[in-house]
Amino acid sequence: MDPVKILKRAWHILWSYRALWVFGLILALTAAGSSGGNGNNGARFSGDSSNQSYEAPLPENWREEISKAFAEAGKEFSRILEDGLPALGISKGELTALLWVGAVFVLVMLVVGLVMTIARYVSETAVIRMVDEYEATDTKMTVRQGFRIGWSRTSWRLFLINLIVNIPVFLLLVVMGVAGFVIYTMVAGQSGDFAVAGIVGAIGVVFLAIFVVVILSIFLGLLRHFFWRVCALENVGVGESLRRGFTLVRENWKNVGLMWLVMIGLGIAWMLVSIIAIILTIPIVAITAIIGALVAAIPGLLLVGLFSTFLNGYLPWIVGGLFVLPLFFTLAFSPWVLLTAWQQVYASTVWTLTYREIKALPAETPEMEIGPVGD
Amino acid sequence: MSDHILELLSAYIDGELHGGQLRKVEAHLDECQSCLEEYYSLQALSATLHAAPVPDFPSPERLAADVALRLPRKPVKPMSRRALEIGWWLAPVGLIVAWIFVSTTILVSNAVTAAGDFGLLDSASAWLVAGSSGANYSAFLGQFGLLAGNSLQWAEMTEAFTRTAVPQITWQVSIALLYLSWLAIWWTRHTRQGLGGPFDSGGRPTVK
Repeated sequence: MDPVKILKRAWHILWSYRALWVFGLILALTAAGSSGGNGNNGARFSGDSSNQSYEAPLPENWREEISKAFAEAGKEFSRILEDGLPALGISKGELTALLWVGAVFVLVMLVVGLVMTIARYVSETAVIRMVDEYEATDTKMTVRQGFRIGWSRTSWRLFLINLIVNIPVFLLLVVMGVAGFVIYTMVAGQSGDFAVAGIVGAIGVVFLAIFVVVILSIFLGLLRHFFWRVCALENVGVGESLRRGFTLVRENWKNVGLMWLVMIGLGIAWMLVSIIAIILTIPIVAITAIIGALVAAIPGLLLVGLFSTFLNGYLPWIVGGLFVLPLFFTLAFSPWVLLTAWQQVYASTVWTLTYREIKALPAETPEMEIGPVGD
Repeated sequence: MSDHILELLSAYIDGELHGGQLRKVEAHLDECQSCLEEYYSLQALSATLHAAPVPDFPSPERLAADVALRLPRKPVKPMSRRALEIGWWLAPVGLIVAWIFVSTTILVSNAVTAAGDFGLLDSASAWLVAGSSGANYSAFLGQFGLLAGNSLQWAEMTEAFTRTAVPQITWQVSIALLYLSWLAIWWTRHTRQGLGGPFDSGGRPTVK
């Protein structure tokens, strides 16, 4: 297998097959960061604690203080519901209306989230199948055809595979929760050195858990590329995809490993390139931000008009703005979304080509035993 | 006239007939001229075949061994070269593990520092997060009145940032650059030599 040839071919497909960009845009809006395609989405620097030294330590009886604060907050909330917020000019009726609007907002966001999740897996399936079809028959599909082959039971299976692959992360959360509880118990127990030893032990467990789970997640993320492709291209169930995908990777671990190392390197290079690209495209983003503001203003004004029927003053503007903010951000940052879309399509194409290449390799058989040659 | 026994002649010549069948054939040959001629003809053919030299066909095992011996063999690499090759492929894996280790350390360290600053670690905080909010150079200068008010606060914040963020960034950037160097060398070698690395294998290419 020649990784460089695969990378060059994927590059060619990215620029010559524009219908893939549409699905890349959907992936960029819905899946960026979770299926980067290389198991390495760049170094994430943790927030520094530079200003934490200015935080005043909590008082000795902080547990009682927190309970009292919660009780007071509850009372205050009840009072606000009764009287509204006179200081901000919000009456009781307006507050009730605001709470309803908030509930509608959450509902809308949930629906949008659901639609985006469906769109993500349909797009994943479409990109994999479109690239495979192009390689097999040299025919390019339209966006409509792409949606047609993406909208299938396979996209649901891809979702389930992703869910299974992410199980270690859930386990990490459980371990960290238990460790947090241990730390709390140790501190609450006030047992001196024992508390210190317990905390150190819990921190060690958390460290080990994160370390192991990150490695495991990277490995499972690599396997996921093949699980997905077996599922989408061989049209088999989840269990069978996992089994065949694992066998495929095990039998070709050298080729898969090499491709993975190369893709991680490209991921790092992409991170550096994207930082430069983001800086260079700031003027374009400024223009798209103006366009985004103009486009988002239309539904925004309609919403403001709607909310004005039961809200007064500046509240309809704030609430209306909140609803159209996602639309504005999508349009304003569309150049950066496009960059991510290309990255998504390229990574997916590389793994589809790798899968095809590996499938075409002759199956490895155990070496034949050669006995002594007699006369 | 009795029935001919042509179908039994081959077995008769090979001596495979016994009892009644043998007697039947012998009796028939005594009285049937055409079958006797056929018998002589077959006997002559059998004698000719027995006289011919037997070709030297090798056994299947021998044939397989001969084919395997004629196939091109991988040259045996010296131990030092193999170790170098394994090291070459382990280098990026080591860098990835190092990156995960550093990131995890930073994450846990920041979490512990934050917990300590919020007083959540209680008595253990002094031992665990020593130095995170302790004396620094800015505070030292502040004692002598060289820094005061907002200037002191800014200086302390800058110093704290330098102390925590800069090493983290340096570590991660170093690992990233080392990895990119490995990739660049691999790419150059690959382009210069073509296929021939340890992970190369044959097969029908599907990429056009």
